[in-house]
Amino acid sequence: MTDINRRQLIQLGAAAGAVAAVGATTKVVIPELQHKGLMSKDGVFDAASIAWADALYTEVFPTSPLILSPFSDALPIPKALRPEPKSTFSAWASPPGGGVGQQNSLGNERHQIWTSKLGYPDPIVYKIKLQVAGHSFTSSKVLPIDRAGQPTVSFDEQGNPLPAGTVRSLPKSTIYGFNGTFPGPRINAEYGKPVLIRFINELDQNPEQLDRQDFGAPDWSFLTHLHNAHTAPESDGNPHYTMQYGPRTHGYLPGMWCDNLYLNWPAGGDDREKQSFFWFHDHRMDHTGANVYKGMVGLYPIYDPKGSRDMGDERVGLRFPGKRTNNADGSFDVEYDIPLAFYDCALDDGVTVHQDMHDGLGEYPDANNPRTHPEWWGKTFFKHFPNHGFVGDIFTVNGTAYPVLEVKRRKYRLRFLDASIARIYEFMLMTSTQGPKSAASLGYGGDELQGQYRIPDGQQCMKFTEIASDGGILPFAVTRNSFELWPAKRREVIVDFTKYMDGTPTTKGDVIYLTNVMKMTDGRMWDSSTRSSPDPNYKVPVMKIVIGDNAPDYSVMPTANRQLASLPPLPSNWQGLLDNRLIFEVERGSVGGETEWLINGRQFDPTVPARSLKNPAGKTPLAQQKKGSFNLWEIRNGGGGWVHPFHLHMEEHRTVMRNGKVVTGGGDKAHPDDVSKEDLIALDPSESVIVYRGFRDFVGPYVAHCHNLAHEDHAMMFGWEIT
Amino acid sequence: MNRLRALEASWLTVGCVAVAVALADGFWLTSLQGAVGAVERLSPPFERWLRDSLIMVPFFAVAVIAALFLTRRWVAADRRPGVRLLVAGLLMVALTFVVGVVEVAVSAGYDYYLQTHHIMIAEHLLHPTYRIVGNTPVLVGSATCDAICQAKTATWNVHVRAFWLSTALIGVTNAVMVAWVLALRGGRLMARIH
Repeated sequence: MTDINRRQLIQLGAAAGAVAAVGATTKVVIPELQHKGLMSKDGVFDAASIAWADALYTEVFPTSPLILSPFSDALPIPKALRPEPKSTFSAWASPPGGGVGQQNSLGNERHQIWTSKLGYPDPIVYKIKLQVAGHSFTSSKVLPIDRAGQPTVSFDEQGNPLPAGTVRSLPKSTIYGFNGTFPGPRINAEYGKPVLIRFINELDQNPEQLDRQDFGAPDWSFLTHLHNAHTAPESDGNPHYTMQYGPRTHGYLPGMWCDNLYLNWPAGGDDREKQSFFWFHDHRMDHTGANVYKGMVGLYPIYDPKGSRDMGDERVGLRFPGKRTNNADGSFDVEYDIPLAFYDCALDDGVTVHQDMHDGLGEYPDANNPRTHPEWWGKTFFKHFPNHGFVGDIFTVNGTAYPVLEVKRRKYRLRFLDASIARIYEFMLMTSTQGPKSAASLGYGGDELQGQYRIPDGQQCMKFTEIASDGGILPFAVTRNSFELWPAKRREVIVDFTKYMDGTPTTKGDVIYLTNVMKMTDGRMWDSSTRSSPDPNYKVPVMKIVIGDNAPDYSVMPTANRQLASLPPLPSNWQGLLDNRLIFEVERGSVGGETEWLINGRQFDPTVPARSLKNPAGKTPLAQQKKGSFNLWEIRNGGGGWVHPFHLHMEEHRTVMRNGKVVTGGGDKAHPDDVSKEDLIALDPSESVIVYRGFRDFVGPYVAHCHNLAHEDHAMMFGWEIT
Repeated sequence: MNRLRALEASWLTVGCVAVAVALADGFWLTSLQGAVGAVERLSPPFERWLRDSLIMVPFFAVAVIAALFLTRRWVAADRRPGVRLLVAGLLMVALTFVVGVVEVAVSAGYDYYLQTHHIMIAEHLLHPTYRIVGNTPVLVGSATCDAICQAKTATWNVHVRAFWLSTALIGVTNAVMVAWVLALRGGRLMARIH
């Protein structure tokens, strides 16, 4: 045996240490990077940057009081808003019309295309007022808890403390709502039947003298965007337009009105461009997130009566679930077709300091921030400039926390919408023998309390049949165990409540939980989801579904091989357009660290179109497109360990490449919807996506932006225009 | 040159320590820049790390040589090799720490310079903002010192926190890297030390 001297022993120890370090890296670090989608040479640095950011930006958010009786409030299902009779709107001082000066109260704009130009009838006219109101997220009693999940003090409306353990009722939160409700009205629209909505700003009126707190546009202006309707700029509700035309400021101020004309006309008049579920929300520059969080959300399912294809009647056409009832005024309701708007909020605990960079702007002088606001205990808490994005710890559906929905034993069409600031959800349908337990009672604390309840024994019991995405009806239905819902995205599914996925019939009284299985403790990206190291303990019931009586059902569950829709074709030479594509990279900005967001290194300038990065042809074209043209646009995620839901206004697109690979035939397991039309790109960390889209029918300024609203409000937006 | 020759350092040790420390400190600096640095300086981090580390290798090499030089001056030649090795190692850690910290400080200073320029033209801070007084929108917040100063202060504070945190990390990292390289070299510090 060879003798080993001391020097060799030291060398051996060093080598062993290196091997151990490599082993530990392989065991611990690499799986974590894979789990986060950061397993690349740049991803390693992104992961370290995240760790730095976590260490440097200490942001405290309140812990909302625990809702003691969840799943007891019925899910609100908005009825169709009734239109204004012609006799009424004709008598308005400024009736709607296609003439010069008729588009807004300033008298300085007209509708670019009036309905008659398309051979369409006059629009159905609605009136929606922007109003200050109070909103209750739950009727349940609540128990104030701290970050450890332990009972804590609360405060009354004067800010006087109440002892820990005092069970309370929640005060109403102040909202700015469409017609003073959250969510706002539901408009059931149809292709071929234009809709005109007169939005009237009454936010200066506050009859109940509600405390407006420290968020919501400080000038009380609004700017409504019908996401993602094919509309002219004056009706699109985008700041690239309003800063130059119409109001020539961020939005429409109190006392003003504007008529948004939604032609319900598919892009290019092409039936293949039809969509099926829009929503309208505020888009006021710099305060979109605050205004949406304050309640400016409305629902706009759009049906297709052509050939009775999808008109809300399950006996004809595609035979999706829906029982249509026509009202005498031209509106209609559809039973068994339910929109579900998901929104997470945090409620003030009275001890968390309100502080962010907006304080210095003098926008909320009465709040006198930075300070705590015990008098706002139990009301919605908001932070404009969150370094890690903003997520709430209470999950609501249609404005109600943890609601219950009683369904008939039959099929339903459920329309999912993520109306949250930044939270991404992943939904599954589960049963639970033991039922929901509060996360606090299970011993969780801190961010693990988000969602408040869990079903530890939850088991998947049903599947979703996805029939539509944000781009409209899918070419073929997709059966899914779960699906992700990113901010502003929509997913429509059919669920058969007559049987479980193993074929066992349901019985009256059975309980199913719509469950979120994606843990996302800050606005950066998920901590766990089924596609990246799922956390088996994270099963947060969001809505309880109770099986009720039988009901007639004439709908037909689409099979995987039954074609539902045709996609607008890609030109055979689309790859020949790659060299001249427009390229936009979204990235973290620089002010105050992680508090600003940029595109191509620039902040949003609402007065000019953006310029592309240098493309393979060596050009840096302006974001200007000729009317009637099509092009490839690339959106890159500049990294930093963030995900970005990136939204392009005005026409939906088709994703053709993701990370350099052609995905027109599918292939990206993380993004199965890439095969459909979409109006929002789900950008994973450091991803690059190339989309093909058209620029048809209208001219003028539009925008594209991240729909993480904290990003959008802090400059992650760019202007583009059609000439 | 004569002095360097007289030092009779093990150039392999000098090179290994300088490269290892430059790469390790560079990793922290690059990832820190990804978290709080100016966007104008951002480029694919892996390439940036290699480039910046390469630039820093000569500075770290000088620090290591200086450590060896001071060891020769301060520790008598007849002292036990272990003592000399320990002193030399500690000096290497201390001097490479100084280089690493200066690197972070210079980088943060440049970031802050770029970022303050950015703040001065920040659209959302400068374009007109309104609030309601009575029932009338009143222009506020446009180019007020409040907003800009607050943004600058926030940026400054982040860099200060980052600096102190990176100081601690660089100290620990350099100690580990120096110890590891010296161990891999079997304690060969200078050509004459056996």
